[in-house]
Amino acid sequence: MSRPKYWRGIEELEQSPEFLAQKDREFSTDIPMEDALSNTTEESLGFNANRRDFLKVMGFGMTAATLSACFEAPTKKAIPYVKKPDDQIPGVANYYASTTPEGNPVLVKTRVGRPILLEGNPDSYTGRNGIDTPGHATILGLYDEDRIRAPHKNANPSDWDIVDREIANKIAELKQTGAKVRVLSSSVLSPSTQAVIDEFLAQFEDGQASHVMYDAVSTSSILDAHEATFGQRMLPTYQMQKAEVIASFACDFLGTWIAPNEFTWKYVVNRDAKTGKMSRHFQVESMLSLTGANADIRFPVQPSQIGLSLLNLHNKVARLVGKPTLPGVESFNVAANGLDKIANELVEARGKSLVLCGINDTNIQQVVNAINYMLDNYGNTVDIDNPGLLRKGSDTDLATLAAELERGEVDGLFLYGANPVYNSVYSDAFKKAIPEMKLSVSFAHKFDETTELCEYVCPDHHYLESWGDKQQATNLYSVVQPTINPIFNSRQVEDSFLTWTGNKIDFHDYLKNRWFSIYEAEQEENFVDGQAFWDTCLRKGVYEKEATSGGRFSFNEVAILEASKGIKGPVTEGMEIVLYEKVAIRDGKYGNNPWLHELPDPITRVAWDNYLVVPNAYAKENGLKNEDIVSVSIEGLAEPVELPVFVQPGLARNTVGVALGYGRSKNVGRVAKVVGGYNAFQLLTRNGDNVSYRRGGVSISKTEKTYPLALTQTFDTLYDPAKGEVFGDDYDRTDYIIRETILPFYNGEGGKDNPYRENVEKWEEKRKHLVTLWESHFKDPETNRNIRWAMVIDLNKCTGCGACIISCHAENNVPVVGKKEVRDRRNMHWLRIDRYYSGDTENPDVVFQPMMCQHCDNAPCETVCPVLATIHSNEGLNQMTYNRCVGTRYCANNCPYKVRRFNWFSYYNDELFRDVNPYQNELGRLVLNPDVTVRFRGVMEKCSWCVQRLQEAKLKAKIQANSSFAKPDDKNLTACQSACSANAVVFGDLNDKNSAVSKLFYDERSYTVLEEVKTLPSIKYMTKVRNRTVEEYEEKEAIKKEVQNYTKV
Amino acid sequence: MNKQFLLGKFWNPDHVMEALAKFKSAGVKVYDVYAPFPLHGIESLMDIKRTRLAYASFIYGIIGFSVAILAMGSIFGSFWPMNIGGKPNIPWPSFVPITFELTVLFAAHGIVITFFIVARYWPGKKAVLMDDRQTDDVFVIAIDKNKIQDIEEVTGILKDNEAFEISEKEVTV
Amino acid sequence: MSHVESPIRQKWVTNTEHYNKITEDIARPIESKPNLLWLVVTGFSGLVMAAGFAIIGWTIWEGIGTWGLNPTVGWGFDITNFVFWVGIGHAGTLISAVLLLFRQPWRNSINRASEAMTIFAVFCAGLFPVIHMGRPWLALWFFPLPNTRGSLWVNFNSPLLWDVFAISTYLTVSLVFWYLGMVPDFATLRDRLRKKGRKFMSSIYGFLSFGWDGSSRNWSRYEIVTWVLAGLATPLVLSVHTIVSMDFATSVIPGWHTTIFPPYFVAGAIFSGFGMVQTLMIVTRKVYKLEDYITMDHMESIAKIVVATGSIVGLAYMTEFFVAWYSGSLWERYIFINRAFGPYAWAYWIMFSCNVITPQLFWFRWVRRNMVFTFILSIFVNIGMWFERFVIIVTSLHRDYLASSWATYTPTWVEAGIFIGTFGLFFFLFFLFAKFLPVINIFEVKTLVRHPKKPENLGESTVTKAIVD
Repeated sequence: MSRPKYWRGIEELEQSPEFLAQKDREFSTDIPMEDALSNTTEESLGFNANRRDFLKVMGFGMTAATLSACFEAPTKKAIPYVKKPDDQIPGVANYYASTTPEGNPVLVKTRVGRPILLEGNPDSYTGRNGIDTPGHATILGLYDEDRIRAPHKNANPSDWDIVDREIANKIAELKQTGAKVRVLSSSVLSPSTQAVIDEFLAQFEDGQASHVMYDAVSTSSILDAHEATFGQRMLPTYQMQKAEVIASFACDFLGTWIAPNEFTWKYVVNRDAKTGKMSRHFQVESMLSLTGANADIRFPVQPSQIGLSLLNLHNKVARLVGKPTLPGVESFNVAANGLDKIANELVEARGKSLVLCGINDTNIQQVVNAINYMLDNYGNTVDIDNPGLLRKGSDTDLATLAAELERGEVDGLFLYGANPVYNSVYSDAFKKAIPEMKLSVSFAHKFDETTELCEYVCPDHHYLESWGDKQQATNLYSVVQPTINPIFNSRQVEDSFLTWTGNKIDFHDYLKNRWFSIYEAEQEENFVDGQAFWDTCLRKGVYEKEATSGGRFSFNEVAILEASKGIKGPVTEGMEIVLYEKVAIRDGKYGNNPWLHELPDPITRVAWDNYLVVPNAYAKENGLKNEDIVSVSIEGLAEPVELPVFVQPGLARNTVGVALGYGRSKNVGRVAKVVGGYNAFQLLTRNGDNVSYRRGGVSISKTEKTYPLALTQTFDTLYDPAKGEVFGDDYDRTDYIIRETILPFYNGEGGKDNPYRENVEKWEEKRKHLVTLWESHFKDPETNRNIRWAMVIDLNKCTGCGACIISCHAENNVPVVGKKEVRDRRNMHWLRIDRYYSGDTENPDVVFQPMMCQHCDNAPCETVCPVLATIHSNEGLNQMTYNRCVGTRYCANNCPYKVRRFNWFSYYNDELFRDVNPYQNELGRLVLNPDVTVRFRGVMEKCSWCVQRLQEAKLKAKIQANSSFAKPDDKNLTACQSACSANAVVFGDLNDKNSAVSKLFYDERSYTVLEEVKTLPSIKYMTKVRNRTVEEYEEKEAIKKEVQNYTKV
Repeated sequence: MNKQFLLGKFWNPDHVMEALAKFKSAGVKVYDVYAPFPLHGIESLMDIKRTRLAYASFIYGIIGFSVAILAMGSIFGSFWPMNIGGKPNIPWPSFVPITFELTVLFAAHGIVITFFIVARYWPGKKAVLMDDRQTDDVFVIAIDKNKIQDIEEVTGILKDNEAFEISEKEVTV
Repeated sequence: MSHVESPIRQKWVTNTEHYNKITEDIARPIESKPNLLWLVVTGFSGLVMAAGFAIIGWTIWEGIGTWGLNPTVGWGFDITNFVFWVGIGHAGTLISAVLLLFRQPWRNSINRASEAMTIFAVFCAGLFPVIHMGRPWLALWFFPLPNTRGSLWVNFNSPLLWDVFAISTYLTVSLVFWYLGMVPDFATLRDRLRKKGRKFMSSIYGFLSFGWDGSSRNWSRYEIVTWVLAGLATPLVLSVHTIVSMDFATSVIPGWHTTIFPPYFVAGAIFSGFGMVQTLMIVTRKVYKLEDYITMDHMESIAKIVVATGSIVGLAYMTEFFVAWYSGSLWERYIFINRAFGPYAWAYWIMFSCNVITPQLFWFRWVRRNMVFTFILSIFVNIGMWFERFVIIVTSLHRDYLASSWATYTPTWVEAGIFIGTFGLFFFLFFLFAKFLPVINIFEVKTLVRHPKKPENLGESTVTKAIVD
């Protein structure tokens, strides 16, 4: 059909001549270009436009346009969710259950998809009350900018496909050659991972490939000893909560030994003075460990004498229980009759006692087993029916591997969580062998000492990025689940293995299948199917069964006789050196973690370094003082080692010590590089196959050099001997700060011996007649509907581990300031743990006192701030307004507790702190808690009692109860409270008569620090009660008097 | 407006005082005496009324005092009541220092400003000079020519008291 | 006025019979060209001042961390210098106000210079409260200004805020007092310079002189005003250091928390102030040959005040110790034992010997009249009083309550630099003053002249001539 013809106008329709003339022209009327450019008309531009002019104009225009375009406008990308995920509410945190590599079940707090805080998993058995000190800091490792970001080949970035292909080929080669292949790892806690590894090794011929486990700080001897005495290689589960008498020999189970956080709550459960059910804790050790600091009775003994004292203890116990004694034991005792005392009490508490030993010597451990066996502790306090699985390393296997390396038999080595070049006694063997191997693969996060040498680096995920599971004991399982997308181009080690096994399944499914099989195996009838079971476990984070019991093990008497002969007598002459772990740094695995380095060691209170701890007496004799550099020469060591000295009370005579975990390679990261220090693993020796952490034949010579140490507490007591000469004991004002008593006094019937009970009555009496200048702002609790926050810290429970400090670090974005600043006493910790000694320097009593803002009702800081930057909330919080603060520092001066911290520099962007402060790099910033301001330079800051958490809790409570007067429950309110494995920190609402805190707040044991200043703090401390007999108490007192008289003369 | 003055110039303040005494008894009205420094006791001879500046200053003080009290009281009492170190919202003792300072501040500045206004001195004002040494070492008695009945008597008195110069000058005052 | 004076009254102005000579002597340095010495010293102090300000800039740029402070010792050189300079400031007002009220004619020749000293010292002092802040650019927040941040006000409980009011009141009132005193002298200079044909200078002084003409009616008002100001300045000068002392006295820190502080600080302030007056006057009278106006008797009476106040301060030190012991408070006791025998004992004993022991030499007349001795002793006083503040601030803080946070304080070059810088500022200003303003109150000194002689350059009495013309 023909389309109709459209006409534009009458003219076209009529085809008029004008139209015809015009129709091909674009513009029907002329554009007055000429007029415009010439100066004929009125409105002309006034110049004749020739080509040049045009070009000029155009040129100018273009240039102008270009120049104006040169300015780079900042582009901000903010892409909102098109569809909001159900679990993502902006400003509301999500919690996921996971497990740290050390096997601590944790809850991971995430905000908009990034983990920012770790807390113990309350549903779990081991981690119910919190996680250990380094555990809290592992979250920072996730955002470590020095992590390996991609697979590497010969230290050059590569690609997974390439790496996989090449490794696959090499594995094929190895299969042909039949050369030995080894997977070397630290204890693998995950059954699934274990399965994967086994599957991987299974593809080789029998005997060709095997899996070797070792731990940097080895407890192999305990497992070996049990093999020897009970015929099964296992790590018992220790039940401190059942023990009435604990005798620990050089075993720092509260600080560093195996699972400190688990042992801590188990230990503290039975340290409650109120019920009078308080365990008695003996500590026989050479160093002053955290555990020793908490012990009731402590005996300093030279390292080489510990074995002997155990032998003697064995015989004394044997006599008491009428068992055969060990022949040929040189008689030895600690402090006159220490061992008899211990033996008697152990036997009295038969079946409810516990002997522990931290020495990695199979013979000694067998003796320990023997003692525990004699005392019927097996099945009670020492559980081998449900052995622990936290440690599997075997020194023997490692020794074998080392031998094979020497002989050059191993051609394929896979290193998973193992860093033998740095931390094993066979360092040199590995150093030599690895470069020559056909195939050496490391799964490390860092270019650590061993990884440097490996051909291939297949970086593992951080555990917060990976799937997995852990098994703490035969009856305890927990899961690991990713809480963030992998940050780098890393891959889970299990996936790598699966790939190289040729197994196509990805590890997540693999894991699920395994858990389904657990479900089948256990016949869990309260779940419909495996999926439901898995989902629940994933939500809870743990799967725990009742501990079974009843299995009886026959004890091998013969082995003991053998073992006893293997124990060497005391080294009488010469100094000995102990290689110990620090509570925070441990074996140095987290050597690049600034939080851990900034945390002062609870005992020495030194941060950022390792050093040679030296007994006071020795230092006095040889004129050594802190920070002197001494050269330490040791038998069998090529050249002497130069170390700075730290004079430490409480060390056994002739004993010095140096901490492990320092002196990491520069490639580990910028922090490790800054720290430096000396790698004490170089001093490891072998005793049989056992790795030994003690050495004899030490001689020390002073050099002229000195080395600065970042010491954060220079005074250990308020008793200042120099002044003592003038005014005597008057000057010991410690009572105003620390209060302690002993159990018999405290439980004196009717409280007649309990000074504190009387104090309370006196105080109540006094309170009646108190005159004050003005009314309190806080009304009578009965009539007051408001919350009144308060805290009680039980000095009896606090072990001083410092987990709370790290947790506070993470929760409140506390900056890391580095060694120099810490040395200038400018560490920014909102919460510090003061450590005080009393008594003599040979064997002092130790008290730990967590000290943070006391939130005083009559706060001296508030009165003096000229701009009202710090004021009191009607809930009793002493609030700090950073924006208002002008930084006069008057408040800090006027704070009797000296808990206020000033931002001397702008730590968040000052170059000086680039290396140490993680908040200065893109990645590290991700760990910042969005609820808390990052403080500006020149601003005062201090503990806020985690006000952001309080607000959140209040809102939750109100929403849940749908009432504006609802009050939150007092669980996990502040970070320190939730972090404390010992439950030493109780926090809550004082106006609520039923809250735990209000009960304890007016407890007879509660006191406020510096009461006489009448700042009326909202924090009370509870008197420390030591479980000592009156005689022991009097002995100690006599010594104290002696010390003071001595200084007076 | 211009005035014709009869000026008696002296070099010794004692002579000035004696001359003034004479003028007072003779009932001659002296316009003013210009001196390099204050001549004590001249007020009675010239019947200068005692100035009331001191009272003014007192009133300024009262104002300063009440400003301080009212400001602080209302700020802490009503604008922004706060719990500061557990103290009551209106801590009177704390107000004392600032109240005192403000009182002094107002009183001191008030009186000085008032003085310059009353004395008609202001920055950059052109000084009225009978003799260019009257700020150095010459004392001038100025008498309004038009108010003089007996010129002889006046000059006589001046002369008797050792005026070293007697002259006339027309000055704008 | 001579005719009311008794002939036995002490002569405060020697061998001067002509009023004109006084004007000459005092105006000479202003009218003559600056000599080399002046240029050198002024230039030097100017450089020091500039350096000081540069270092202050560095502090503000980098942060207070450049100082040696720590959470335990939050104040060091900064507040020490502040109190030191404020103290120096006290002598001026004291001389001009209190001595006026007590009718001490000898003040007339030294009040001008010492008031100048006061004002410059307060300038220096005023620096520190500002730069010691972590965020000095927010110094405005110290003032109770209505603002847009909700109703956000200052803390009237805070001694630091009291300081703000005290210092600013003190500074402005002293300035006014000083200026008022100079007005007639400006007039004098104005007329002299006009006669000498130096139009420009004359016009400047003319402007400053507010058109002063020496009319007796205004003289009488003027005197009343001076008296009232003196009456106001006297309690003011006492209040200022009282309030400064409250910075410490109202705190809870042992060694600070003492009721003796206000009188003790005031005495100390006067003491240090007069020390500085001695130092300056000895130099000024020598350089400007003003021995006739600032006579040996002046120096002697200053010395007397120094020994008196010095002894008061010494008494205060001992009282502190007694009360510390008598209070029975262990903290208090410890702090004072620690002061005298602790790590900062050296500072304490410097303070003690410079403030209590050496000034006792002024009991001897020949020492008081020996300018070399007096000069040295006055320097000691300055040193001692600086250390007094240092001792009070640092020793009290560095070992207060919790032994765990005991620390020591060592200043850095930055702090030292700023301190020296303030001396540059002080002397720079003082030299300028000495060149361009009358260092002695001309008209007040004239009132001290007895039996003036007839000026030579006056003609005979010219009665008839005047009338005829």
